[in-house]
Amino acid sequence: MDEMKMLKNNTSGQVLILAALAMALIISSAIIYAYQIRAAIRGENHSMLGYFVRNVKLESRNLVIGSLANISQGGSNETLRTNLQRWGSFLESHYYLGECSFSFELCEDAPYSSGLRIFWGANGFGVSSAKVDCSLSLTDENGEFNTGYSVNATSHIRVNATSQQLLSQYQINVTIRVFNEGSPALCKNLTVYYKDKSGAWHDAGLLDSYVLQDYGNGTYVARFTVDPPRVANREIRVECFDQREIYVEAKTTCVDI
Amino acid sequence: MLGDKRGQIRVLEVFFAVLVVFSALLLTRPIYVAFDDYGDRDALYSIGLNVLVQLDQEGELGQLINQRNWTEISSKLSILLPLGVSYNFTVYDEESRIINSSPVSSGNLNGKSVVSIQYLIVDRRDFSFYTVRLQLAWMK
Repeated sequence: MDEMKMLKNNTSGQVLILAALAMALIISSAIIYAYQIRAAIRGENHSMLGYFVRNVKLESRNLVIGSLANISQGGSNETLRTNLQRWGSFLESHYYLGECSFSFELCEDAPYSSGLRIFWGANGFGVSSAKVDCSLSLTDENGEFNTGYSVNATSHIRVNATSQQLLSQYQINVTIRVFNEGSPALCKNLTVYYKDKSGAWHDAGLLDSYVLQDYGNGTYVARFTVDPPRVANREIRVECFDQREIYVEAKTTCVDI
Repeated sequence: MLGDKRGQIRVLEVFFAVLVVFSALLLTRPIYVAFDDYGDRDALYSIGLNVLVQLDQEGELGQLINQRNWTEISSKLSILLPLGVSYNFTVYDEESRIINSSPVSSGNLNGKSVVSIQYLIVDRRDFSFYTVRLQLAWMK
C-alpha cells in the first residue's frame, strides 16, 4: 500500500513539472510575440515618418518652382509667401500620425529680397530665383522629430553675341547657355530679339535666315542675318522659358568681329 | 495493476509532451507569418512611395490630376508598378472630396492584405493641393 502511494505521489509530480513547463513556454512565447510585434509596429511608424518628410520636401520644392514660374511671368511677388502659408496649413491638417508644425522663412540675404532674386541684366546675364528655409516639426507618442531644409529654385541664362559683316549683310551669332540650380538645363521655349537702328525690337525667329541649334547640353546657338544699315553695339535680347516654365531673360550687345 | 497505472501516467505524459510541442509550434507560427507579412507590406509601401515620388519629381502627377487625366495616370502606374501588384488610386481635394470621377485601379483588392499610402501633391500651375491615396496589394 505504501509503495503504491509513493508511486502515485512521484508520478503526479512529473505531470506537474510538465504542466509547469508547458505554462512557462506558453507565457514566454506570448511575451516574445507581443514584444516583437510592438517593435515591428514602432519600426513601421518610424519609416512612415521618414516617408512623410520626404513627401513634404519634394512637394515644397514643387510649390516654390511653381510660385517662381508664376512670379517670373508677371505674377505678384506675394504669391510665394501666400502659397507657402497655405501649404503649411494643408500639411498641418493632413498629418495623422501626431501633430505637425510647418514654418518657413523667405531668404533676405542680398541679393535676395522676400525670398526672390529676379535680375534680367543687360550684360548677358539673367536670373530668376527663389530661396526659402523651411522647418518641419512632427510630434507623436514616440517623441518629437524636427527637420530643417532649404528650397532653392534658380534658373539663369548667359548670352554672348557676335556680329560679322558678310558682303552686304550682317551675320549675327547668339550663344545662349541655360542653367537650373547651376547645372546645364534644357529650355522649353527660346526667343531671340535684335534691335534695329531706330531702337525697335524685332523677333529674329521671323527671319528666313534664322537657325536655332540645340546642342542638347543646355547650350543653344541662334544664327541669323540682318540687312544694313550697320548698327554699332547692336543689342540682343533673349527670352527663355525653361522646362519648369520659369521665365528668364537677358540682354547683351554684339561684339563686332 | 500497479504496472497498468504507471502505463496510464506515461500515456498522459506523452499527451502533455505532444501538446507542449504542438502548442509551441502553433504559437510561434503567427510570429513568422506576421513578420513575413510586415516585410511584404514594408516592401509594398516603399514601392508605392517611390512610384509616387518618381511620378511627381517634376510636378507631372500634379499636372495630370489638375487635367483630370485619369487614363494617363492609370497607364503610368501600370508601367511603374511591378507585375503582380494590384492598385487602387484615389484623389481627394483640399476639402477631402474624391475628385476622380472614374476608378483608377487594376485588379481587385478585396480579401488581400492592402497597404495604403497617403501622399500630398502640389500642382505647380494653379497651386491646388491634393491628397492621393494609393492602395496596393500583392496578387496571390
